[in-house]
Amino acid sequence: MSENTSINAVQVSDIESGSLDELTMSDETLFYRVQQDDVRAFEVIVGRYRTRLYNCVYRMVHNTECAEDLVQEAFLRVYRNRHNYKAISNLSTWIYTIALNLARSELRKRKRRQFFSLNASPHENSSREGIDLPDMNAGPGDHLEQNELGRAIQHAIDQLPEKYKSVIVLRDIEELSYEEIGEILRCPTGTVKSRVNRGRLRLQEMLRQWQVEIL
Amino acid sequence: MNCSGYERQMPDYLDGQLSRANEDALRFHMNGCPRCRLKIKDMESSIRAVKSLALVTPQPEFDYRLSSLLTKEVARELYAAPWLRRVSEAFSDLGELSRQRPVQLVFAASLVLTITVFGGIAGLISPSERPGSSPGGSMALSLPTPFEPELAPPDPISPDPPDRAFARNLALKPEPNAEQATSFPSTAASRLTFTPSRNYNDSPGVMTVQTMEPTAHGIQVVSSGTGMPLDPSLFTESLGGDLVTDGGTAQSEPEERLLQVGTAEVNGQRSTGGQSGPAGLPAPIKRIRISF
Repeated sequence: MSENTSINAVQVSDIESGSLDELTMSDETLFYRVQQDDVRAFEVIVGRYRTRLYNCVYRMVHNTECAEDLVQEAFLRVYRNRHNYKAISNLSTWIYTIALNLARSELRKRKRRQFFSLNASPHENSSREGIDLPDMNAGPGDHLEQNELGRAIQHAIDQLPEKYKSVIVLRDIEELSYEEIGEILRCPTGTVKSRVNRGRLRLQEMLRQWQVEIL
Repeated sequence: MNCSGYERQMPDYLDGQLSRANEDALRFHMNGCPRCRLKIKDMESSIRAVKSLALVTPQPEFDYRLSSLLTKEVARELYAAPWLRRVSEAFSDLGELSRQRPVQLVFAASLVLTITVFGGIAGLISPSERPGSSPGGSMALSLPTPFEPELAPPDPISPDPPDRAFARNLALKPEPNAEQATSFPSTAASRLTFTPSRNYNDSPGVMTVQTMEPTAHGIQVVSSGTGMPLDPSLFTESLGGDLVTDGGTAQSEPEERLLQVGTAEVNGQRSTGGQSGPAGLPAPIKRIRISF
């Protein structure tokens, strides 16, 4: 591996200073180090969250490039605002809040654009076609879902209003607790639960309309 | 309790978090209430559907771009420290203003200007005493503006665009023949020298980067041409994003990335090299920028 041949002074000194135990540290302890300007600790944080965050944001915005940009921006903001993080809340909650706010404002931006554009968006076709399965061919920014089913489900998530989409993604994909979701979305747990209920029902309603069967 | 009361308990019921008594009550209610029974069934299928979605992971290039972005951010902060940070903090007392980019940019610009001036003076005083300094280049620090050598992609129509002439003046060591790309030894690949000479003979601030270490994140500048002590983390430049463009080499080793830079930069005449790749890929490497 090239890693071995190109070990440079920085990496060696890292190993000597005992940074390996960073891998077992709690997020909050690690982030304390980040607040002391330890870049290596931040790399560990990024490593822990990059896939989760990307998955979450991708399911929200359903576009690979957009999701990558947003997650990058989220990490950048986490780093820039590291001194604003107070240890009273979970680090994961805080990071998710930043990423989700970016994703939500992106969705809002899109909605505005859609509102002013005269061309109908591809998503609107589905309502016109009625119960027919909408065109769910993978677009350019689409991850290749492994099957039709995956594409149909993602498409159904796309159709959900933003407030339901957020809770469904956070609850059923990211598997965060209702308390965490409430903290992220800044609303009471009861509200989160009722949104989860409604989101799930709407989603299933769409899937039933498209005659998508989940066994 | 009515239906909506039971509905409020459904999320916890689906998680198995409901207390025994409440669960029994809900089950009893659903026995007699087909609507609630259907709701639970729908919610269950919805959960199953969403959970059946595969985990999506970012593209390999994502990490490069992210680390480049973060490195720049770290460098920006380091560069600004410590007095600039104090000034910045003083400004932040005035409000959110200083958090906004323009103010930071003004600081950065003034700093760049200062260094340019100092670099110019240093270059005038002792241009020959510098170890490893090449005849053309005159200064260690590379400044993004205005001396950044920008190489536009070779234009096949015009016979000899100015960029090309400039590109010929770029000396690449230790691999003079940049076409022998694939056999670049990994140790040698860690050293690249760019010596921009045309029009820059008497100007300070021209990039002369001598030792570059390929790391997992891209190229790291370990020392400068003048032997000036530099903080390595200050000058880390990743080659993510627009630099990784040649078809099929997206996941290549850092050495290869480095090499691509060499070939694309030096070979001004190579008009189609990078562009002949599969359609849809971005244009080949245009420039090296050591920015901070």
